[in-house]
Amino acid sequence: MQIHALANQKGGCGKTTTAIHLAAALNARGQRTLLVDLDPQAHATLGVGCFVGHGPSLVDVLNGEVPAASALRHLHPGLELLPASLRLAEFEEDAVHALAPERALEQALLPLRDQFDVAILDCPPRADGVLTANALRAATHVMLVVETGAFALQGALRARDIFEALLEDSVEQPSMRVLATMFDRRTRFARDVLVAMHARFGDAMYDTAIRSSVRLREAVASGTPSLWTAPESRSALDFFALADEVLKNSTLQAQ
Amino acid sequence: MDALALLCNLHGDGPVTLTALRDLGCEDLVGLEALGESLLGDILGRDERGVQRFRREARLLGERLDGESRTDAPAPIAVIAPQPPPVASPEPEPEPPQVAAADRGPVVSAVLDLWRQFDHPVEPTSVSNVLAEVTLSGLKPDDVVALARVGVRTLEELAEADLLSLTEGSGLPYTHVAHLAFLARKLCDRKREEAPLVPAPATATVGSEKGAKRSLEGHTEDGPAGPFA
Repeated sequence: MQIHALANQKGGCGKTTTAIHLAAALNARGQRTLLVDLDPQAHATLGVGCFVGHGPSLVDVLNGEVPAASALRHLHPGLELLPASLRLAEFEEDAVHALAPERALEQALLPLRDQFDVAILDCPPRADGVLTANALRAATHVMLVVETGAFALQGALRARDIFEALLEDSVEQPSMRVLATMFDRRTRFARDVLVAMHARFGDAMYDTAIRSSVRLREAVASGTPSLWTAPESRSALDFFALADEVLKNSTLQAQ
Repeated sequence: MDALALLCNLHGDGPVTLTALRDLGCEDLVGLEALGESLLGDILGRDERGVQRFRREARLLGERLDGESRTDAPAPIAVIAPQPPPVASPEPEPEPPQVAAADRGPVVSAVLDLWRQFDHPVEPTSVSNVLAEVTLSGLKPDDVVALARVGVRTLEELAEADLLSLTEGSGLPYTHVAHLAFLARKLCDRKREEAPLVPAPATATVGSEKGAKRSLEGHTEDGPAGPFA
């Protein structure tokens, strides 16, 4: 199972929207896909129209109280969600007293290896927390999600430094690539920033830049990925292209 | 992201244009020149004037990327490939060079300057190893006090300390302690490189063999580990 962690320490850069739509696009490409919501705000969970209530969620899995399989929520044929709840913040607080708390997710996902082809981890908007550390430990690939704005790029470079620190002791280091999001080519500012990102990150960037779209915002708010309601839309095409790239890169790396 | 993908994102229909061009065997900016006007017009959905504008943008982008690759900008980060593919030089059109320079704009310059600051942060002027006197990102005065309570007062002691013991003793969050220890190790390594004849630092008060081994082996021989290394 490939595990892609979508991370950046900045909020509002498109991590959750990308996680939801990339998971849906990979699923549409025939991949058995697991979406894991690691954000205590549970936005990815809400963004796919899931309500956790009193049922088991990721925090119960990380605490070892239930196996991951029993916390899964079925979203679509071949697409499952490991949901978050507000209680996930407790895990971050309790981790101070735990032994190797950053390995909990890696251990929890082990039994699901044969059940899924791809897992998408939606990280919380901080790079140095134990939840992000869990995602990085478990991940085979890290996708640094960067909004095409100057401040977001500073955050990305800070996040990169922290990721390097967190991964320092990892035996198998995940590959790290950069995804540009919220790109609006009508503005010169966004075009300039994309060129500068290209100059800075080069081949480490995905070819696909996710364009800003009202449809995407509406889709997340309505709890239904836009790929399901408007598969021919521009935003859907962006995510299908990204999914193809992710699969192609993974195949190349496997070879 | 290669130059052709960048062009398609900037001036085309993103992945739709990119896929259509690649399906025709066009892999870079130079390859665009080989495509006929009408074929390119069909791909872009534009008239003759639109096609000419697209070709012009391709030439300018080529010059701009070529120019930036010759500046002192930080080297692009490589993950899968060690270096970005060289951007092919466009045909020697009589385009005035100041066009590309002007096109670069103040935003890009400002952003690149910020990145340089991140890549080459200003070194702390102090040569002291005492934590209370060094500049360490994220290290607050309260942290210094908490660390001193468990006997960690110098960079070396922090770099070699056992993180779990330190977390329990100081009451600081594990991830924060781990981050500070990482920065301390980096600073120590840098100091050792700058002054290789200086005797080895004292051992940590709160430390472990694992931490000491990692500090000595992980950095001095192979340099910093990490996916961007």
